[in-house]
Amino acid sequence: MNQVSSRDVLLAIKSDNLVLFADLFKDYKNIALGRFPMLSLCILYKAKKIMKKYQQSLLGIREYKVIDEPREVYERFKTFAGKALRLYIKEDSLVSPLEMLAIMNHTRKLKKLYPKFASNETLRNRLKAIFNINAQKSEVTVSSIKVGQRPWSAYQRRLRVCALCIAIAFVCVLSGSFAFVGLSLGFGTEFNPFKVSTESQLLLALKSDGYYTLTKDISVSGVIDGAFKGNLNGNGFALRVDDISTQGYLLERNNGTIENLKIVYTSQELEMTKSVSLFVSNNLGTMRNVDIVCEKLDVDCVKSGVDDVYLSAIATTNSGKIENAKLSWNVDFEATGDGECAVGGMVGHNTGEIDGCVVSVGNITTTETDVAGIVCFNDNDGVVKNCKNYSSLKQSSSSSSWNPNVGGITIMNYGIVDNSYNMGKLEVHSVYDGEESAGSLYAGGISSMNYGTINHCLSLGDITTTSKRIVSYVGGISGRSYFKDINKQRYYPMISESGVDCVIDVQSEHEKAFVFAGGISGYLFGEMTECYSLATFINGNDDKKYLVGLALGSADYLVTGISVAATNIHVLDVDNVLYHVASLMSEITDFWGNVISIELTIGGDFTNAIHTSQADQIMSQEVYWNAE
Amino acid sequence: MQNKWFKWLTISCLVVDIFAVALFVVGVVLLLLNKLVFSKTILAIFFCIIGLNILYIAYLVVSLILNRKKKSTNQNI
Repeated sequence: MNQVSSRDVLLAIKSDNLVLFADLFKDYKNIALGRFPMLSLCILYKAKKIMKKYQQSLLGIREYKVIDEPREVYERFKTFAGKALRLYIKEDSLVSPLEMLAIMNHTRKLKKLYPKFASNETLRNRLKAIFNINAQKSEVTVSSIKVGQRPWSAYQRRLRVCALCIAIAFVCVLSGSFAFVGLSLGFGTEFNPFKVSTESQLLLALKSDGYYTLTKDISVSGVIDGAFKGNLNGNGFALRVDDISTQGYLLERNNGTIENLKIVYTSQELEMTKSVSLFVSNNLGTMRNVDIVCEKLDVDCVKSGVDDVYLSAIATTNSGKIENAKLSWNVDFEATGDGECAVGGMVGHNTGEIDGCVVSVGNITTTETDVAGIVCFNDNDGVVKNCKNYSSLKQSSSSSSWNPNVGGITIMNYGIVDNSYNMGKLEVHSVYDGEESAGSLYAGGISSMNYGTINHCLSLGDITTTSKRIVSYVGGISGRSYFKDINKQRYYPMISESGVDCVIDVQSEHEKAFVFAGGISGYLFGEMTECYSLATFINGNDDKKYLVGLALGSADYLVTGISVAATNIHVLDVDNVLYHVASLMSEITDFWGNVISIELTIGGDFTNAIHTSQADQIMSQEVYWNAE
Repeated sequence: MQNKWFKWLTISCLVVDIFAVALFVVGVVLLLLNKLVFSKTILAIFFCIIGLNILYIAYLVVSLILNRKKKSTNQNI
């Protein structure tokens, strides 16, 4: 057997080389490099492959042939042994594999191998000593071994403290950055809306579906096509707009919520051929506390002749909800061409809900364009409630084919108008003087034409109409109220719990330019209940052309009776008006029921349903109420 | 064993933290350029990572408390 060098053994173990080790193992399985048997060296140098294959064989060796101990082995051992090194000062004191495991703190493996060597008292004492030196709790007996955790070294402790500091710093920095972004920009969430401060951000926000809030006034020059589905809180700040866009809106569609926003338009001239809204074209969402100001708007409109053309401030069409909007504007509107055209303060066509909206003092003057304080066309599902109009509305017409309409709240009501007031003055002037058959003029304190329900409304604005040739329907609440048919079902209009306190001044020139005027309605085919009228009339009843009634200008006289159901109506007794209902229209039919002519007869009184009395007496009645 | 846990937890935490920083930067860029809404997915992942970091801190604190320095019981050997 040749002499083996400790260098070769160490090389095989350090490199965990099974081939090299196999050659050595064949002849030198019982050698030890100084104090270190081969298995101890394998543990020291973590030679896993060698240990896996030769551990059992190496564990069985009891006697060793000692060769040189390389210095580097000692140096490495010293780093792991620490104070336990003192146990191995003598050169002949071997570091057995189990002791090496204890020194290297491989307790699990130690526990596994211990039973085979438990009877060795020297080993037990050595192990106890190692554990004591390393401050590890231990219980080493003949049958078992229990070892506690080894306390960390100063380096390990420092490493952990360092890691802890870095982790805390990282969390703080990241959370701080997160909070900074949240506070300075916002995340676009409900609890942390994105803070919009520029036009580009606003345009981006209005195409999105997050939560946004304005942080300052923004000048806007662009428009937003498409739908806004998010939530925009104006926070009291304003959008300043210099030019109304050619598209006719600022935002094409609102499906989300827009609130606390002010929109300020500079005075401008506008040419329009299609509907224009100062804010939204179609509102399907909610708009709350939106305030629009336009000092002066001069409009030249060419009617399309196909689609209805509306000018409105909040939305052209609304099927959502508009709450507490405010509008302050002055409009001078001239229209040419054929087709329907109307100006409505808040909305053009409403099938949704308009609640608590106010149009403040201003002047809207139009030519051949219908005008209303709040909404042009309130459709079947539309609800207008708690609204107030303070602006003066005036329309002039010289056309034979145009029926001028002016209504304090709506032009045409098919839905419900509830608890709304008109304080603005209404004027309609028709100067058409031709021979051909012409239309009619309609003016109503709440609605010029009513097919729906008007409940708990107040009309305080004076009404003035002049007509050269055409028939006039003028009423404190509605110009004309008529039934509507939906799916072959007939629905009658209802005027209830409403009051009128204004001056009605109606004039006409031609002898056939009849005037149907009433404190409540110019004409009614429906029901009125719990209403009062303190209206006074400049031109009273003359039984010829001026058919002016204290309650109604006209009603229908049917086979079944009069077309009006009235309950508890109180009207002011004035000298120049004689009847509750000024005239009754009867249809003369042929044998087959076709209408061949209409006969007008002088009206009369509803003795039990309509009560005539003085102002102070009316004010003491339960039906009386006034704006607070 | 303890060292092993510490090592792997620290490495994992480090990797996840680098990911969190990248995610945060991407989130802010998207916030400003896209829809002005911070991505909910990014927000959720980000909070998870912060949560993991807090757990890691808790692990370190607890292990530091449990391994307070003890003097060896037998210094005379």
